[in-house]
Amino acid sequence: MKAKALLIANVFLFLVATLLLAAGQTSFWLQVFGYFPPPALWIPALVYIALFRSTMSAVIVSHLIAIALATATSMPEGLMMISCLAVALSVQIFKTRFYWTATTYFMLVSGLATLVFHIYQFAASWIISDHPLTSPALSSWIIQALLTPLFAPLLFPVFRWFDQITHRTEPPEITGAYTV
Amino acid sequence: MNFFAFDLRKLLIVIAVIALPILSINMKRNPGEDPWYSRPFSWFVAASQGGYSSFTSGVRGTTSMYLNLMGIKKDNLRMQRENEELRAQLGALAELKLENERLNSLLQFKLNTKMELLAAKVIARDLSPDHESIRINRGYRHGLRKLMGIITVQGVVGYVLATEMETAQILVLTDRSAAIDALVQRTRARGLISGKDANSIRLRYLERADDVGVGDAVVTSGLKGTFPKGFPVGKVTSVRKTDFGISQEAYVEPVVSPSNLEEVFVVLNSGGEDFNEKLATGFGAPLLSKMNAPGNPQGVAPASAPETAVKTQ
Repeated sequence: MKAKALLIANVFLFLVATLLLAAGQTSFWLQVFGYFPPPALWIPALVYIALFRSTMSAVIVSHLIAIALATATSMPEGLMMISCLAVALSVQIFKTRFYWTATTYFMLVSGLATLVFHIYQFAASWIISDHPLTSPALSSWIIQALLTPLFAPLLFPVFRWFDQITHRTEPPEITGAYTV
Repeated sequence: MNFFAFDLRKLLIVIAVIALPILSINMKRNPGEDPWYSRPFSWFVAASQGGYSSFTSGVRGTTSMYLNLMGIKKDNLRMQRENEELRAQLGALAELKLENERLNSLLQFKLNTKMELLAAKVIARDLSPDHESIRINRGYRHGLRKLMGIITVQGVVGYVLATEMETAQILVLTDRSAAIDALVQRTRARGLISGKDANSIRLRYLERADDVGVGDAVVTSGLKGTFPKGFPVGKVTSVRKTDFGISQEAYVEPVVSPSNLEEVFVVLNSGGEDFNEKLATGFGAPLLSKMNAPGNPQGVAPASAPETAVKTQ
């Protein structure tokens, strides 16, 4: 019973953090830097979940994240869910091919995930949307993909702390026991 | 005893020694002239004193300069701080002045229209750079409902997509899923405005035979009362007509740039306002002239109130 409560608390914390980060990206950044493309601050949360959870957990949490974040965009919810899911699965596949225990890895994957999120969203809009993306904001994609890794190292300890306070076992990848 | 047995050489030396001061006193009778033998000493003393004087004055000067520099450095730091504070105040004042002008123009606009408007501030933008929506600080508690029109003094911004208690999500007309009924002002050709990218929109489903040209103003149709009739939307930049098909499409540059929005109006009730009449009487002339003015994407309208304004609410 307690284990379930802790699991729910963990997911809840990640959802709240994701929403706070998204709000910071869309509102705080706007007030400070105007309409200059912001970093995709919520992507590291999705990346963390994809890296250090089982595939089933990652799929469920990515859907929850997508549903939560759809309120902050005019993007259709389904498109958001498909894009997030594709990112989470891509990160898991990438991890089976390349992995090293360092902050640089989390930074690299966060940057790549930001870029592929836009690519998946672009592709998915042509497949499932009535209004496909004809003029992608390529410069914003690149700026976001470059800015996001800069914030990833700051967020990583926070996510680890979430895991600690909800008594989640430290992933072997973090403790160093994990080998590809 | 040999009284005379003295040393003459010693005697001469003693006499000379005794005589020297007398001789010196005697030679000093003319005080205007230094005796020849004292000149080298005098020169040496003068040179030494001069040297010491220069040295001490140099040291004193350097010390004084150092102390002054310390003072100057402190003064400099203080003045730099003051300068920064003044600059910050100046920047804040300039910002306030611009905001004042902007709000004044919004107020004048609100006072001179039949529409029931609610001013709102843009508080957030879309999560995705490929979607164009904004969030404003007004929600259903303030009377906002879905599909209510959003405008600035300059032209159409979009419409309400979703409402929360204190905020609302606005779909900007540059979003590709946006749809606003619009007319070509000159020929009254009717079409549907939807977004193309962040900076341009399309007027779709124009009849193939419709007369549409580059530079034509596109205005709202006023259908359903979401927007006032004849309110500026944009200006045609190109027309695309394929070899076959029953419709044509025009690319339009929006009057309002969504990337510079700060304050907007929610059209709670358009009140049957017809801007075609106002344009004819000169009210809309500044709006349309702004459409053609380069480098003014912000919705800043002329500060003075139009004289031809209709009833004030």
